[in-house]
Amino acid sequence: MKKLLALLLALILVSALAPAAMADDVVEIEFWCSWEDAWRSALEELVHQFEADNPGVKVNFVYAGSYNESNQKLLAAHAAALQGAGTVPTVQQTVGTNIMTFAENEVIYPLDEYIAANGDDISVFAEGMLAAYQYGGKQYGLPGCISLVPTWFYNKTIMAEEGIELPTTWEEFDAFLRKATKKDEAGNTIRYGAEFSGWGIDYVNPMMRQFGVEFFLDDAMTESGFDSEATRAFANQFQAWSKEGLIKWCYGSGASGNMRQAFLDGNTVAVFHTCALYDLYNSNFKEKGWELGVNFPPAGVNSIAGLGGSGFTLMAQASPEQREYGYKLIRFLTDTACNMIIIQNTGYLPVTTTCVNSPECAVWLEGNPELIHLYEHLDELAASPSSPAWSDIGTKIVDNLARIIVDGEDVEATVQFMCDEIAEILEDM
Amino acid sequence: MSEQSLVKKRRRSVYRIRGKFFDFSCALPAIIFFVIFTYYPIVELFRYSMTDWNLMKSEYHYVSFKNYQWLFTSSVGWKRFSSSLRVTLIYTIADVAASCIFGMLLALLFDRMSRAFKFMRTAVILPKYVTMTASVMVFELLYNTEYGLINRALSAFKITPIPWLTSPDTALLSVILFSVWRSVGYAMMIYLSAMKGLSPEYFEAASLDGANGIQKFRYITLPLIAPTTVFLGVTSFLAAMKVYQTVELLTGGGPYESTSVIVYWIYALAFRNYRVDRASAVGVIFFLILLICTILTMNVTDRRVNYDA
Amino acid sequence: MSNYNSDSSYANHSIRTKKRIRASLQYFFAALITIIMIFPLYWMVISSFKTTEEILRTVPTFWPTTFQLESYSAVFTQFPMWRFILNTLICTVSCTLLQLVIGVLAAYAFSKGEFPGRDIVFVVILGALMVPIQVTFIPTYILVARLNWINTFAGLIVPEAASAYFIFMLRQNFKAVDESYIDAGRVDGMGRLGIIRHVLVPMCKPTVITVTIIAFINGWNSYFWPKMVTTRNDYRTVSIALKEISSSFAGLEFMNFNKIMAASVVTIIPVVILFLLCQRYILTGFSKAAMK
Repeated sequence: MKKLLALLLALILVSALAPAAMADDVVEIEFWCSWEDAWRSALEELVHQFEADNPGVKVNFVYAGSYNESNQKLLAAHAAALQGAGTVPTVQQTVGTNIMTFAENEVIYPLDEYIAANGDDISVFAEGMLAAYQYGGKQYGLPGCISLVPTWFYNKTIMAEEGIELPTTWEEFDAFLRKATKKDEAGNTIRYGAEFSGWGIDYVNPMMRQFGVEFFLDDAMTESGFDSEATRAFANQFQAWSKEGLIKWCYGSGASGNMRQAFLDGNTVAVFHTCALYDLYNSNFKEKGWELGVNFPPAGVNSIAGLGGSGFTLMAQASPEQREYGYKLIRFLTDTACNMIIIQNTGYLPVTTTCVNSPECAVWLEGNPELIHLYEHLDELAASPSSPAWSDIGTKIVDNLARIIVDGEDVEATVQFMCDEIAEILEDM
Repeated sequence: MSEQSLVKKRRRSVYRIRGKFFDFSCALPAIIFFVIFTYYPIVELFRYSMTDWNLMKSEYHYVSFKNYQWLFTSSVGWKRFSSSLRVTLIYTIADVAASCIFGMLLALLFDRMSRAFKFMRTAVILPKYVTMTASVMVFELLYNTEYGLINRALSAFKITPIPWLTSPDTALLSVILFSVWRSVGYAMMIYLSAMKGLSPEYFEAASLDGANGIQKFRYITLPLIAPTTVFLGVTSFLAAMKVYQTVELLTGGGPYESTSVIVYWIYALAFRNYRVDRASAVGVIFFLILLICTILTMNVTDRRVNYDA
Repeated sequence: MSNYNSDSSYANHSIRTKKRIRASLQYFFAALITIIMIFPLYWMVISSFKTTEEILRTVPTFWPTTFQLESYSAVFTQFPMWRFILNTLICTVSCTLLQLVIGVLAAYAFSKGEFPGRDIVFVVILGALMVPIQVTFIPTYILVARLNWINTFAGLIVPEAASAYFIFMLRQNFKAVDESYIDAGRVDGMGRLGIIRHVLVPMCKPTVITVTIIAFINGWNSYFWPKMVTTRNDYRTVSIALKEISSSFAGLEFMNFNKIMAASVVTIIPVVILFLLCQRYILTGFSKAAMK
């Protein structure tokens, strides 16, 4: 027993200390992704193709945890690299809202010189998506895994059976809700007109903007425009709908799963969610013999939809050779072949016109005609504000809106409270 | 003094000096380890707390006690600090009190020699040793507002669903319930063995005096197991103050920061707000708070040891 | 007088019934509490065998109507579970051994050993109990990165190679060992190392075993540090893999709890088995440590 243990320990120490054998002339780069799904392996296969095309490079395709986790690890690795220790990845899958902070602090490296050197035309990318990865006039990343938030999913079958019409404005939406909601004799809702993803600021922000809420009054993002009539109008409207039992505002941990399940069980006619879940909803609807409708959310004051998901960025602390190959990898990942894998397994959007116009995409659209409604508007997507204060402010907005809409607290007082808290955060930055 | 005894004495003193050296070298690995992996990071932490580093910039400046000033004098800093400290204390006190009280009650209840009871005791202790990530998953399933078993059971009694993890009124309670579920068996086990160690003579004497069960518990068991309570209280207090993982996995600090305990806040400051400087300052203060708590409790436990002897 | 006799037999009888009632009440409540305590784990296991449809039924079933093993096969085919388990074993076993060696030596030094400043140094080491890793994470990470230990077993193992808790528990026990045993050992010609090996450790065997088991279980369940220093599957441990698996399955289907529960069951099986095998030690060893 003792000998066995000693042997084990020795083995472990040896395995722990054994250096990784690596040919000298091969550049090793690491790609940190946040796809935990099974289809990740399909993408990994393609990356092997990339390696075959570029014999000088070896790609470590790594799952680095959720976006948050991946960021935390990246920052730790970056901090260590600043002191000359450890290694950073070469390419990371980065959420758009981090671009400003990361660019300003030189965590990520601008792509412009590589774009110029390779003579690439990046105007094929959708405008709003590109803009989300720009900072200070430089391109800090390319969009790759972009979603429309919130996307409006509705149950076409139920709507056709009951003669419910598709609303195109928030005014019409009220009528839609009244028709779509079902109540029992006691007045309890048994089927909601719509459920909203109230747990995340990325979903709430575009809807508020549709009501005319301006998040920041200046470009430096130091003054918020929340203390406005538009904010109150939004809060009042949703509180009223919620009090009448017409909508459900989903909030808190587990809310996302519950909302999905409600939609699939027919307990709500529509949900406002991310288009990345298209495949999930669609395949489950098919099993039930239902038809899924997909659209832009109803337009209010102006037609705005948010841009979610992530792009690919290059790390400033990676070596120049690594970055050179890293850029090639980014181009590869945003190319039609990879883009189509991401699209087909989820519902993320095509990022380039090349992809939209490709025969693969045409075939895909033929089988999934509803997605046309989204693909028509690719250029209109706009990014969330990118400020270091954003995640704190976002939490405040989400929390206080839930207080108003779910708990039915006083609109004026809560909005005022929220504005004070946001002002405090901005002052504190 | 004879020559022989002198030699002996010298030998003994050589033995003692060599012994001291040996004893010290026994402690050395541990000392080196804690210097490198605990105290060096704390010193670094203190250094960060005097800078304006944001974890990303390659250069930073020393700003003396500005971050501490922010913590204690600015309205946001102090508000958040005191709120997270309050949440931590509520959690800690509830967790420690509940596991001590219920642990003691369970020890009384499970104090019976039989195969069935042995099995049941094992079952009660088990949750403590089950991987927390895994138990969190089940509790998420049980707590789920719409599909969770708890609310389904309640609805059978016509009670409206309780948003266990999504309402600020219940989230902290749910986190505490989870922790108590994990720790109460351990407390029971400690109490059980403490009670087993009590001499039966006391109880016989009490019986002769006509004391009933409750009196025996009140006047014999309780005072005699007081040292155990102190031990349990101190160790679980220190563990509970540092709670992080339960919160991260169950609630993520929300809703409305109702479960944002201090370690979670420190971590969020560093990685969500990119304020490592401030996070470090809070970390240093938190370390000092815990150190003071320990020194105080060490005095208490030392006194107990003397009392025992 | 005769009256009194019959009364007393009646009283005896009633005491016996009372005792019986008390015993059955004790059984009843103990069983009730056991059921409550074990229920979440029971729910985990049976949920892993249920179909998705059954999990979502409005009236929950307490025994799966149809047993399905698909959840388990999904977990094992989609994720390198064996690799994760092996990784965890490597880390946990080496951590435990290192903690044992370092811990026993240090516990000896701080209880029976003599050197200047002993007690102060001990308090300083106890201070390490105070510091949660989340607080000192950044400097520790940078330190480990300097050693080039990110994404290595060394990086996973060494920063957790000593435990102040372990030392504290053992020291309390060693301290209680009577000096006369040590003197006897010295008379028998043992060196200090011999005394540790042949006197102190055997005399405190239950505690040593308990603390070792606890160290193993803690190592197995360790989450935060492994999560932050590993990015590759080659080094990922079960506890963090479980989190990935759960988000993966949660994203794939609706309320996919059966597969998440299956992964949880796989994760906890080794510790549960170890616990059941060694529960005797855990039960007695802890009590000793707490009493001293």
